[in-house]
Formats: sequence, C-alpha cells, structure tokens
Amino acid sequence: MNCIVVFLGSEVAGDDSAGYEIYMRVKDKIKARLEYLGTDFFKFYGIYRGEEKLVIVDAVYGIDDVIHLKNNEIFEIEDKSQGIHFLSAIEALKIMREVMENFPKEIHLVGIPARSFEEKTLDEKTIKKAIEMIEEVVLRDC
Amino acid sequence: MKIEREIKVDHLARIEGKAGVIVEIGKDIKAKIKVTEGPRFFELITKGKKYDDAVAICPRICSFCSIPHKLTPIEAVENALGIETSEQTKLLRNILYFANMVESHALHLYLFAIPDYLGYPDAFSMAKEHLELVKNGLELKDFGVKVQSIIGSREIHPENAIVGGFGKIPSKNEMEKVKEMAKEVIKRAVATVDFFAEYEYPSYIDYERNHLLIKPYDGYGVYGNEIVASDGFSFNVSYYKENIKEEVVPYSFAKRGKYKDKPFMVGAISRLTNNHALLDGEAKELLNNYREFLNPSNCFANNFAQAIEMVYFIEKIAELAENYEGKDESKAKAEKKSGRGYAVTEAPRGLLIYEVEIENEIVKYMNVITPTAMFLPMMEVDVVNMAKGMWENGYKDIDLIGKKVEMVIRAYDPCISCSVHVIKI
Repeated sequence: MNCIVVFLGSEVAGDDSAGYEIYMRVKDKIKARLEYLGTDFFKFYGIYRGEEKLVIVDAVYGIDDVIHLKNNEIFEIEDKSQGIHFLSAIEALKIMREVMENFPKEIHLVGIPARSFEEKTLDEKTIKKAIEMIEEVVLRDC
Repeated sequence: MKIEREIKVDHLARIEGKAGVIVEIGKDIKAKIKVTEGPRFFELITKGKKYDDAVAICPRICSFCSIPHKLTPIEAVENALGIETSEQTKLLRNILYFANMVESHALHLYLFAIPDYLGYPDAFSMAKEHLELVKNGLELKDFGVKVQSIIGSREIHPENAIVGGFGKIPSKNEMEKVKEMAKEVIKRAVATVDFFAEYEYPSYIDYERNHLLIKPYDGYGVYGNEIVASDGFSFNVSYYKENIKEEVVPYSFAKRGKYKDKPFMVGAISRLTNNHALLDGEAKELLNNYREFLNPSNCFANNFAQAIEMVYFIEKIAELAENYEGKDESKAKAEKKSGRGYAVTEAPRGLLIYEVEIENEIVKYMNVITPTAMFLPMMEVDVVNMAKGMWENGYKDIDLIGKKVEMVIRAYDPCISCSVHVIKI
C-alpha cells in the first residue's frame, strides 16, 4: 500500500510544534513519503499523488495521551471552527474529501496531546510514544 | 455607560494569536477587539543573530505570509548594507510575492468569506452544495503554492530567497511551467470577481477613511519605499515611526496603529482605491465593468479588491515568467558590514514595515509593524457602525448582529498564522 504521512503544526508555537518536532526526528528513518505541511493542511490538495493511505500527525487539544484514530473515527470528531478565520484540520480534511476526485482510502490520525500555544509542555516520553505509533501504523502495510 | 445588551465572541480569530470581540450596546455602542495571546517576541529572537540567519527566522511569524516576512526583511537588510540586486532577482522576487498574494487571497475569499455570502456556517457545509466553487478556491490557492515552491524551493517557509539574490536559480523550463499554470488558472480568478460583483454592501458601515499604501516602483507592484496616504500626504518608510504611531490598549496584547491620531485602512481596498490606474490587462477591464463595487468607504469592498488583485497578479506572473531569462548569476555582495535599513512592501493584508540595525553583520535591533496591527482600530470603528446601524434600524437579534459583526472582521482578512490544523476534542 502506498502511504503518505503529513505532519502539521507551527515550528515555534508551543505544543503546536509537536508535528514539526516529530517530523524532524523521523524524516530520515521512516520509509514512506513524509511531508511537513506547516499549519496549512490544505497544501495536501496540491501535493497528493494518489497514495492509498494517509497518516496525519498533529497536536490535539483536549486529550491526555497520544491517540490513534482511523477513518470514520476521525470524521466523527466534532471539530468545528471556533470563530472567524479559524479552520481545523478535520474541517480541512472533510472539505478536501468532498472536493478532491481522488482521495486516500485509509486515513489515520496520530494525535499528540497539546496544552499550550505559548509554552512547550511536550515531554520526551510522549514524543517517543507518538513515533512508535506512527511507525506501527506505517509499517503495518506500507 | 449602562449596558443593555452585549455581543461577545471569545474566539474571533487568531490575530498573531487568540482574539475575540466584545460589542457593548447601551446609550452608545462600543467595540473592543481583544488580542489575548501573549507576544511572541520575534524581534527579540533575531537580536544577536547574523543578518542572514535573522531573515530566515522572520518568516516563521506566519505560515501564510511567510513570503512577505522573508522578502521584506531581506530588503531592509540589503538597504542597510548597500546591496544592489540584479534585475533577474527583482523579477523572481515579484513572482514569488505575487504567488503568495494569490494563495492568501484565494484562501480568504473562498474558505472564509464566500460561505457568509451564500449563507453557510462554514466552507465544509458550502462544499456539499457548491463543489465547483470550493474547487475554484483550492485550485487558485494551489497555483500560488506551486509557484512559491518552484521559486522558493519548498512549500513551507521557502528558503531559496536569500540576502543578495537566490540560492538556486530556477530553470527556464520551470518558469515555462509557471506561465502555463497561470494561463490555466486565470479563468477561475475572473469567476471570483464575477461572484463578488453580485452582492451589495451593507451601507451602515460606509465611513470615510484614510487609506495608506505604497507608491510602487513598478506598475501595481508590491515594492516601494514611499508610503502614500489618501489625504495626499506621503513619506519615506524611514519616517514610519513619526507618521504611524503605535499604541497599546489595556484589553489587548497587540499594538495598534494610528495615522494623524486616527484609525486608517491598509490592504487590497487601499491599494486598488489609490492605484487602480496602474492596473492593466483583464484586471483593468473587470474593474471598469464593476467600478461601483470599489467603494473606498466600505470594508466589504476589500473582498472585491482582493478578487481583482488575483486576476492582476496571475496575469503578471505569466508575463514575468515569459520574460525570464534564467541567467546563472551569483548573489549580490554587501558594500559594508554595518548600517540601518528600512523596507516596506504590500503584504496581502497591507503595509508591512521592517526596520533593521546591523553592526558587523550582527542584528542589533529589529522592528516589525504588520498590517493587522495597523488596521485593528479601523476594524473597531466598522464593527461599531455595523452594530449601531442594525440596532438603530430595528434589528434586536443579538445573534444576527454578532454574525454581521463577524463578517465585518472577516472582510479585513485579519492575519491568521496557524489557522487550519488545530484539533480540539
């Protein structure tokens, strides 16, 4: 199965940098197409090359531990914009699924617990756990 | 003041962070746009860094405006150190900047503004019934991303633009591809103008205002060193502190700009209002056809102006790509190691000013004023006028007034750096 792993998040904004931090650690280790998309998940629209499996790695607010969600579990998240000019990754994913002619058949989300935009509270144990989870999801059949 | 009703939106937008709005309705109507996230001290981070490291840090201020936050500090550094770049560098920087404009305007118009116009709560709800419309937006945005990637070397925070020129010179073939993509996507930009020319603006918020913009070096461009106001006054960017006063209010972390002690406007509406004579091609024709939509007193005209600009910038990208020679050249050298430099460019949302002081190639001081900081006070005026206009005309539904107030703020396209990826469960 062809796989693409996308990492989301700011490079500098506290826990929001989880995606970037993990991308930097795994970019030469995981054998799949890896793309860091910054804070703009819509860039996926232009870079997608027909991979069957999509793995999204992003900071998630409201959880205490690293999570792994798959397909419908992701689309069922009630993740709405909190106000003007604020789109979430899930909204972006839903929009792209509507609009794109080809879309990955299997979608995974590896969520890293985030608490603050201002401060980095991510610990080494959490990062390690997230990397193991990504490797497991990717290695399963990529 | 006794407050009869209050409109409160906690998470309005992320204007350099989290922001909300409070509108108090009593004998008078007052509005406060609160930027509640703490400052990120980017200027301080650059202090003590070598100048070319510092200009690599600045784009991290924003994901969507990373090009303006790369090219403007580069220009400031070049002005400080007496670096004169080649014509080819100027051409490539223009294409890069114009592509960023297209990406930014497309995102704002299609995913944030148009759902309001069609009565949808968000872009996802709109996508179900207006698939082609959303596709238009994503194709236009993707065009901007691809061009930035070709010239800037990657999609996120392109690193190829450096002080003195470019690290790697794009090939003629790559620029041929840029030209072809521009010709392919232009019809989608024209359709955007047609869309916005079908909607009238709410007249409650008609309010005469000063517009500030640059006098472009070339055409309807984004580079210049003279800031022009619509009251006829102009000044060199090196006098920005004397003319644009930044103030702090107790309810917000963001600094706010005033010109002659009054709120003012920047952005596409300001550029088009004052520089429309510099347009050419299809953008000029479209503006002539829909001239009445360029109302300088109404912030909703900003959406229309952005749509016209997308057409112009795509046409220019094709034209510049056609003229590109792809000469192999090395970057321009600095004449000195110390100096003070200023630069102003037209970012998607308006004037972006950088000042830098360098001593022996090390940054000693940097100051940045973003467009959002400049137009925040003007936004509050428009928010008050919208709420007041509705309230005094018999609309007592606070939710409805709140939605219209949000539309006003959205029309400004306040800069949101990290807006498409945060998940909350």
